[in-house]
Amino acid sequence: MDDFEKELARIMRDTHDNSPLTDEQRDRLHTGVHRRRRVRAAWTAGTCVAAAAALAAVLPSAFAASPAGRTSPAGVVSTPAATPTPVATPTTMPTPAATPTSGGGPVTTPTATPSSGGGAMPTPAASTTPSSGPVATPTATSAKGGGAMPTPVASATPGSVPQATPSR
Amino acid sequence: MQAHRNGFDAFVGARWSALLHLARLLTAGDAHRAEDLLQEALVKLWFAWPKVADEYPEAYVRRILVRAAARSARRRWWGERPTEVLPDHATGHDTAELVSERARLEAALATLPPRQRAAVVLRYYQDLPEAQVAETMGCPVGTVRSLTSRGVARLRTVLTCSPVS
Repeated sequence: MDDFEKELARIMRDTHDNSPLTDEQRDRLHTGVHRRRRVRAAWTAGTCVAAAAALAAVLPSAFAASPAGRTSPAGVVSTPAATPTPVATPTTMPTPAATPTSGGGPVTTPTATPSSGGGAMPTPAASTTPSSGPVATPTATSAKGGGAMPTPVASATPGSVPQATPSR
Repeated sequence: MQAHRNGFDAFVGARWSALLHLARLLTAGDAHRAEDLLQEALVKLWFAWPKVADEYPEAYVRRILVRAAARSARRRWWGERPTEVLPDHATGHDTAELVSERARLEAALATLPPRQRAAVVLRYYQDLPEAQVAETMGCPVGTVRSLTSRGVARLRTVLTCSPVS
């Protein structure tokens, strides 16, 4: 710090005159605090109203969409399960095509089929979807093209049937 | 709540004068603007008081003041409020020499850009280290060094033409 800087600092301090807080200034300060508090309260209330309005606008559509949303998760669950299977399923499908003769019986016992079932069919199904036996079951069912069962199954294995057809 | 208010009032009562002088230097002697800025900063301090009270509330007010002063300097127009009482009246404490010295200092500070002025005031009036000035102004230390250096050079030129002492 050179002389000029010391002198500058000195002047800045010396020009400070002691002016205590007056009642008027204190009142003005408290008025400012109250005003700001009101503004903040109004702002908060406005934000809440806006949030409520947004919820009111969004929730009905969310509820309207919820049934589809609930089916879709199930579909999503089955789809990934089906997705890996389709790879195996097509391979199994052609084979079952030879076994459709085994017919409707296996449809009810598909879970049992893997264990007891006709050699080729159940084994690949069990090997491809060991964790999801039922998934393999419908594929077999649909392949067999049963009259009653296919309806629910058809949705589960739509991809497998077309694949089976071209493979033939 | 009462303790909150008591602590706040005690702080304001004790530090009002010094903070007002700081605000006045930051605004290059504009007493009304200085008081407005200080009021604004103290209102903000009130709401932050529970968090700041145990630490160093003056640093918080200083930071708000510096930023508010820089922001207000960018505004072109400052509203005038009519008042029944004229605010600028000579007080018995001010000697002619002090008034003259202050006027010269404020005129010199008015020639500086707001950020240079803030850096110089914080560095020389508040006697803060560069790192703390940087923290208060929200910029790097190198910037503070540069702002201070340029500000002092300018003040040296201005005040040398009208000697300080």
